[in-house]
Amino acid sequence: MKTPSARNVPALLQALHQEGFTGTVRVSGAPGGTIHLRDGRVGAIETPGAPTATSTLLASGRIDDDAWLAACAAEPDADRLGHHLEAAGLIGAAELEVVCTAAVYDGAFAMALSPPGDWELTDREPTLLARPGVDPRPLAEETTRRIALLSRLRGPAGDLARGRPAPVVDRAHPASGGGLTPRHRELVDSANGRRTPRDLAFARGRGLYAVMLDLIRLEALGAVRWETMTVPEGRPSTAPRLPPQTATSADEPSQRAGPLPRRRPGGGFPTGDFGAKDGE
Amino acid sequence: MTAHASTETLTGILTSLRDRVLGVSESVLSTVDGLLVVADVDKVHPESVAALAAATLGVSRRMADQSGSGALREVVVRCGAGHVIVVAVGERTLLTVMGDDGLDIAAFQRESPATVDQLTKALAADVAG
Repeated sequence: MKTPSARNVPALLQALHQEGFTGTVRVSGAPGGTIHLRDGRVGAIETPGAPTATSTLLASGRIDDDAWLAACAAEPDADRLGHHLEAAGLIGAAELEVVCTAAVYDGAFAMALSPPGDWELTDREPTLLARPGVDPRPLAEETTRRIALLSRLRGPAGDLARGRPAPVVDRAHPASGGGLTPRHRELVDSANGRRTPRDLAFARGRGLYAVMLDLIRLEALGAVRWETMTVPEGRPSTAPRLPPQTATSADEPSQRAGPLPRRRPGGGFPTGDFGAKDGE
Repeated sequence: MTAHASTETLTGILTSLRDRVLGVSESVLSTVDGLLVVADVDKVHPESVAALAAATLGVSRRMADQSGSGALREVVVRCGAGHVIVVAVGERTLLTVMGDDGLDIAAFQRESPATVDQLTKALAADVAG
């Protein structure tokens, strides 16, 4: 489409900003993501790497699922869903703006943790938007600042994102019991050595960056540590289960089950080929 | 059932899937008759998931058949705060994968054939006896 010559995603967004582009930028990669632009500003970012505003509002329980579905039914264009949520009294305008804007910054940060692939531009796709949206330049600057800060605090941000923090069970340690704020406590309770910071962010309905900062703090306090775990044990065989009389695979009992009996117009009771083969 | 693939091998394949696909949180390998084989789980009850997976795939195969939409690839259950995906592994086993709201479904569809293939090979040593 347009602007295929940009060097990287921030440069692309800056060029689209100058054009006042409304539409969608799909960035491939692991995980990649979808950037929603309105009049050149970033209104929302969807990526498997960080919760969207919608995920945050629903996972945290800030907006209840039934109310959310009702709002989606009443306002089919998700671009205008924000107004509807406010009008329905589900959330205040200021809070919604904070949540949506924070989700944009968080999404950009999550996408920056791994090298992006190619991109393509497509038409507008309705989604819950930050209004008026975030200019690409401050977005890029803030993302750079976040990654630099994490690197300074604890080494490469990408490694931090792949770690799986586990709670420290050492009750003797003064910091691992009480003394934690409720927010920290909640995070320690959710950390189990399986979840990455990203998984914790989705589970708690919080931003990825905020979760990572909290985890660094908790590690310094001795409340969590980074590790992985495995649980091996015995298992049953998956070999075919042989019924006494026949040797066919247990998976497809097609001989007897076959197609469902068909009703025929005016036919009364279905007789068909219902297991009555060869005059049984 | 003597020379079958070890639990560690199978669990390793499941944890590797969790590492490779963002958003995968738990997975269960079970037989088509609803028995648990191995699980990489945190909160769910693996035996219950194993039983439900057998029912889910069975009903979905029938639905695919009835609707004439071709062979069943996988069953995706989309929920308010996550996803559950059931895929067949060979003829006799099923893989159920649970993921959060941000599950990278594109990555899952890219990675799952390799995982299914690894599991199929690891399970090929299971013979009736």
